[in-house]
Amino acid sequence: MVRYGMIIDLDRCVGCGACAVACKAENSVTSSTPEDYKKRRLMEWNRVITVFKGKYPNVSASIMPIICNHCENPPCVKVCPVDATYKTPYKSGEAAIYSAGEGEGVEGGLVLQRYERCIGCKYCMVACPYQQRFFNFYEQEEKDYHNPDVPRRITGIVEKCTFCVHRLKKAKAEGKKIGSPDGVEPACTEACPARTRTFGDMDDPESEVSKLLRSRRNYQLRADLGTNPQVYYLD
Amino acid sequence: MEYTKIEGKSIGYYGVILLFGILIAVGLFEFVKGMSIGQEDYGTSNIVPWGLPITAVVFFIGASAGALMLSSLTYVFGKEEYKPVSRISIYVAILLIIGALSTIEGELGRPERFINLMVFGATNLTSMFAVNAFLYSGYILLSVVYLWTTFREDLIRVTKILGASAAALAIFVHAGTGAIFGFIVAKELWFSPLLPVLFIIAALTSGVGLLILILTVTFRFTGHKMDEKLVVGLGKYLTAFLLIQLFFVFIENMVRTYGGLGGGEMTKFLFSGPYSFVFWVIQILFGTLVPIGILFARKTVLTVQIASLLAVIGVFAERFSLVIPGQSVPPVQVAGRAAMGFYGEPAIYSISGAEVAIILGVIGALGILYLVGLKVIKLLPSR
Amino acid sequence: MVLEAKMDRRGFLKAAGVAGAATLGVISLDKPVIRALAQGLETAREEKWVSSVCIQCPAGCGTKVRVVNGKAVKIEGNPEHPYSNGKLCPKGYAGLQLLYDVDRVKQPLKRTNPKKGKDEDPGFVPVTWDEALDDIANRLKTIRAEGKSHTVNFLSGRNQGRAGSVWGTFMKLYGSPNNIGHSSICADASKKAKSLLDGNDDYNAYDWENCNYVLNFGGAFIEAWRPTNLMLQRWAHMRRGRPVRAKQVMVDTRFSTTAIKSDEWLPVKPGTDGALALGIAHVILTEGLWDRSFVGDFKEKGRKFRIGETVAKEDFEEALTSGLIDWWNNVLINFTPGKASLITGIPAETIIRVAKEFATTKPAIAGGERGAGAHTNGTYNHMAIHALNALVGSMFTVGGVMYQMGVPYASLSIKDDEYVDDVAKNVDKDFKEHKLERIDMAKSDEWPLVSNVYQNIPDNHAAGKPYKLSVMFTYYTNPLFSNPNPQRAWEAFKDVFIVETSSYLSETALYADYILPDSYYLERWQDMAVYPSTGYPVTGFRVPAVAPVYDTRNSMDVIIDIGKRMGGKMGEYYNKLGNHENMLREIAKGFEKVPGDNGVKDFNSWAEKGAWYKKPYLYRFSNGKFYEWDGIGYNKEMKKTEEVKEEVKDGKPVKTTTVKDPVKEKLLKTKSGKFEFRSSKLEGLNDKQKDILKSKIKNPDLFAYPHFEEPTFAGMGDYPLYLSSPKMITHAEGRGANAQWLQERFGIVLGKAWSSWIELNPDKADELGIKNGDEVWVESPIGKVKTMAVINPGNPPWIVVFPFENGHWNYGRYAKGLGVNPNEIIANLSDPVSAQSCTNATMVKVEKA
Repeated sequence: MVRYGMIIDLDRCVGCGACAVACKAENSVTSSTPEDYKKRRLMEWNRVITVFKGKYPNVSASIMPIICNHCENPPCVKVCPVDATYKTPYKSGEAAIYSAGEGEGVEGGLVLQRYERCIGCKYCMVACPYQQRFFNFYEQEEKDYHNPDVPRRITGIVEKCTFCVHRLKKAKAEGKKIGSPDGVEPACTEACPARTRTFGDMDDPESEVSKLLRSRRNYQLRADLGTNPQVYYLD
Repeated sequence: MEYTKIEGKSIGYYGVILLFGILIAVGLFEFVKGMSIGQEDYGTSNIVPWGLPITAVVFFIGASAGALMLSSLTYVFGKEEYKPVSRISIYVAILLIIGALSTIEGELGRPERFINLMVFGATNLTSMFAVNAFLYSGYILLSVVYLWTTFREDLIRVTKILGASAAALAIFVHAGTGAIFGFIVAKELWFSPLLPVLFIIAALTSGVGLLILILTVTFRFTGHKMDEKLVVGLGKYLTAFLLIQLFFVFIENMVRTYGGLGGGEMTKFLFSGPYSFVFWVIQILFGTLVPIGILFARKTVLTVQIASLLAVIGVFAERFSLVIPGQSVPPVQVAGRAAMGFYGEPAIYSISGAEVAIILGVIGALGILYLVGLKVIKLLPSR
Repeated sequence: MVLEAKMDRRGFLKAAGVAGAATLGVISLDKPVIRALAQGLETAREEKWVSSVCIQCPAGCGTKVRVVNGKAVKIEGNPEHPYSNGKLCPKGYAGLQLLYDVDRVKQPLKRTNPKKGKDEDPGFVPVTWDEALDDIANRLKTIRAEGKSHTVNFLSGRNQGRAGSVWGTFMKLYGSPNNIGHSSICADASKKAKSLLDGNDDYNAYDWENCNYVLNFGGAFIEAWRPTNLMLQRWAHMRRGRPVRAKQVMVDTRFSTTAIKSDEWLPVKPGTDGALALGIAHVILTEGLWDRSFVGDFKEKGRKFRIGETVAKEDFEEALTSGLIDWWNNVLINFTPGKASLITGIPAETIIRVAKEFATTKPAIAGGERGAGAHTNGTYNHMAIHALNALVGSMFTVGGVMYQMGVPYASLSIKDDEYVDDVAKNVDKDFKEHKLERIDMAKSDEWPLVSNVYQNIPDNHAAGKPYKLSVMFTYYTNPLFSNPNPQRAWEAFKDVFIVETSSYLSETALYADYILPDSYYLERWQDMAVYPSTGYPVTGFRVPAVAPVYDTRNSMDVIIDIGKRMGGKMGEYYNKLGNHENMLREIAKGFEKVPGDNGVKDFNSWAEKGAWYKKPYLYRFSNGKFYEWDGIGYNKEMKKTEEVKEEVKDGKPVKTTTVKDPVKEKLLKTKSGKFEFRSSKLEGLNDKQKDILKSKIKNPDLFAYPHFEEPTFAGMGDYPLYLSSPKMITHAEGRGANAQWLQERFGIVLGKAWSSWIELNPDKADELGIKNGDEVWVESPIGKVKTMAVINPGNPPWIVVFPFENGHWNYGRYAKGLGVNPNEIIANLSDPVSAQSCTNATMVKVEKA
């Protein structure tokens, strides 16, 4: 059983946003314009937010990156009418129903999207408590498509973080190790200068992520909603 | 009970058809534009992906379910005084559900892929959309057969059974629609077991109200005389439904003032945010309280018509103030802390011409189907 | 009868299927899905990773660029480069968007509209390179023949690596002293302060990895302090990467990202950082916590400094410092924490506690850059701050401060000195004899110690004092945007012939007479010796990752080309030099003697790995002595040696004893060879220079000491709020406004992007009747601008924070017309010692629009 998870150490995070930009570069996510931004149509598979409490002089703030949590109990998978969003199986060899699309052969419980099946009903977008699903309002300009390893997305469908499944697929094909610190990682994990993130198999007790999960600082976002994210934060 | 068709040869008839035709053209234009370059003209965003079309969809389904349940008064509950309007109610219910499905189609990001709903829907039955797809299809089929049986006096037994099942299915259909929202954990204003119930009540209100309006207007323009007792009777039903609706809305929101998922930000936004006008004034005041007042004061055809109009607008506003404010406030990530700027501020959804065009297009299509139906099928009572 | 009601599900599906397929067919033609399917049939895909160095800030982080079929698709950190370690800050990735920006200048342009102004259309027409370069060369030759070669000015910004020397040589051979950098609008106050105390005119390098206490005065550690990428890595290492967690104390005027993440934030009043440092120094001395191995001690052991009590010089024996007693007696003697508290607004108990922690938690570093420096007392602030490092013994220690070592490049085989003709020689002679001044008056009696006074050039040129400029070359700099009060430049530079190299339509480009578009850094060869940080030398290498997207050329080759067309000795030199790549091949030969730790020993290995570096830093102070690295450890003591030379002069045997002090030569490069609390460099100014300096400061008697100069603010009295204009981590040196990836997440702390804004404290906003998101007028004595107000709950009420990035006239479709430029309301004041531009010294008022 393989369960890919990510640990984000908020004490290390320096609020630089390199993860967000690296993700956009790696996954050719459409860039926004000032008009898009005003219309709240920014596509950010990985975003960095700041939460404040209090005000000067008794003020504190916290900076945290938020990505798709690849929940174990994903509300988005539950509500998709065409099963376009699906969770890859934990056991290798088990296939997801019908074609596996982008995540073919990659296990680990990633929540992925079948771009060719999505009808654009946006039900998954309202279901996600982390607001991490994005709708393509526009046709992507040619200059925005950089990385040939990721599929182009067309207008009218929903997309989200894939834990850089194209990297994981390539690693599996080439027999490379997957997971921090010395294996293949998603772009955000690789990019972070503060080494905030760790990626790996949570079911492997020797992996870096499993070791970090022993920290008492760990928690999940909105655990009260029962989504059981596979992304953990260290306070 | 004799039914007739209308002649449908007057200038007025063709004029109205032309008008509806223009609406269809406008709607189609926006639809095709959306298909080719994307939904950039819509007012929706990544925070508020469901806008006016979804509001209209829910409204149409509700009205349809309500209208159908009303027709069951005749055949199931045996109230013969409503027989004149029974056929037309079923027909209107069928049209409205078709309208709802068309609006959904117009709102999809990739409309050409709606087939996927049929092909893959069965694989993910936890999705209320998928369940609803089957419910709606069954509902249409059943209603069509039901309508057909009303033409056959000999099948009166079957009609009764079908009527009962259709009414029951209508309840499930609209409860299902309510469940689309009620099962979403992420939205504070939606996640509630009461939502399906609220939807059914609103369905009844809007169904009756819409029916009253359509009937009175149709009868007027086709030269038939409207039975005042019939209208007043429907008005009494309307009053009852409005009162129940008021009760449920009150309960739903009262609980939330004591606290809610994620700290009550969404409730605060609903009560005092930019859309509070829609909630308090249009939905509660003009949509519920004023019609109740009118109907208690005096019940004539005119007052019932006015009350119906207000109630219908009120129900539309209720759908609106559920769908839009429900999404506007980004869900809280860290309890008790305010996320700064773009990630914490509520998204203001503004109604865009493109979305209104799609809805108008659908209304146009429904209007034409209605008028053609009047001409081709014996729907109206002959008096 | 019932007709259409017979439409059942199957029929519906059939009809819908046909319609759907038809629509799908029509819509899907030429859609990316089909294209992508087609692409999947592609067989060969040529992929390579090319070494390069990011240019979005001065750090010089090595990158690796992934190039697929000749197109750059991703920029990532180079694992071989000790500043990147495989990582990049967000700006690094955005280079991709700047490379393929469709609004770039695509070929050389010539101006046809003689009028220049903000709203003037330049009327650019394309020209060929030869036309442009010949015209420029002829113009330069004419000016030279008229004896006015000194009126040609080269203004530079981000000239990395050998670029500086290419331009420097050009100016030298041409005959103009005006080779002017921009460091005065950067953080020169910090550099000059260090040069006055320990003789090193440079930024510090820091051993952050081993530091346990950071007292940070206005340096945005995890936002803009360079080298940002490495600072982010070091921060995380100091907090969670090792057993001992370093304490971070942020002294800053605003609630910045660094303040958010620090252990303590001391919200000082603007311009008072020096007072805080002096208060801390006072506590260190009165509590007896100074480092005795570096500073020395009283002859009477156990004696401490006492408030108000002067100390006789003979009572104290200094080790590696000098002037401590004078400094105490004149400055620190009464500079109590209470006094510091009154000036800075930080409670005295906090000052005392922080001082004690700073002095006892070793190793500790006191640092900072533009924040404390961009005031009229900037240099003196930084002298006080840097003095703290000496007091606690952090100079050249483990976990302390040091200076960056140079890269052992080989010299060029062609010496430019041999090609200086008489015209150029005369100009140089006149300049050295002060008969001829630079356009910015640097090195004159008014500014004897400065590197440049970039911000005064518009005024000097407009007044014709010392003279009017004829031609101005600009390279990676935008004086019509980045100057404080740039409106002066808009007016002044209307009559200068400007040759701009920017490949983007900056404000200066819109004023230019010729645009010779530079290739973007991913399209050219260049070396990049890093910004100071590691101490040990590092240099990165830019290999062209892609062929130039447009008709652009590497500006260094362009200058060499102009040089060739100049004829005479200058032409000879440049013809011999060839091109820029040749230069790099020659200097790389230096690595044969000193191969890098990763095996880089020549041009090719340097290009392949992307970085040459050699650890460790060669010097260390420990246990009271300086040691040098001998290959195994810091074992070789750096002792003073005496060299006795015996020679025969006029028939008589003469013995000359020279003392060689390696510490003075390499580390503490002052007159005394020690860390000077009383600066001999300042005292060594001639009388005229001293008079000018003393007339500009409020405590002229203390001019040679780190002391508190009360800061001056433009608009003080009439305008109630302090203006601070910081740089965000997403701000790429004024060259990132057209990068969508940076603009769309510009303000991470406040969640604001794609606009400019000012930050207000919530109570102050309430007082002014301003709500979050309102449009406001921000007015200063210079002018007023309209922008959006945003509430930052953390900022003190007396400050208005106005980040710098937007307000461009053009610069591409995403930057054009977006936001406003805070420089337009910032007054042009300069620090009297370093000429640092005082961009934090303007007062404003804010009103709802």
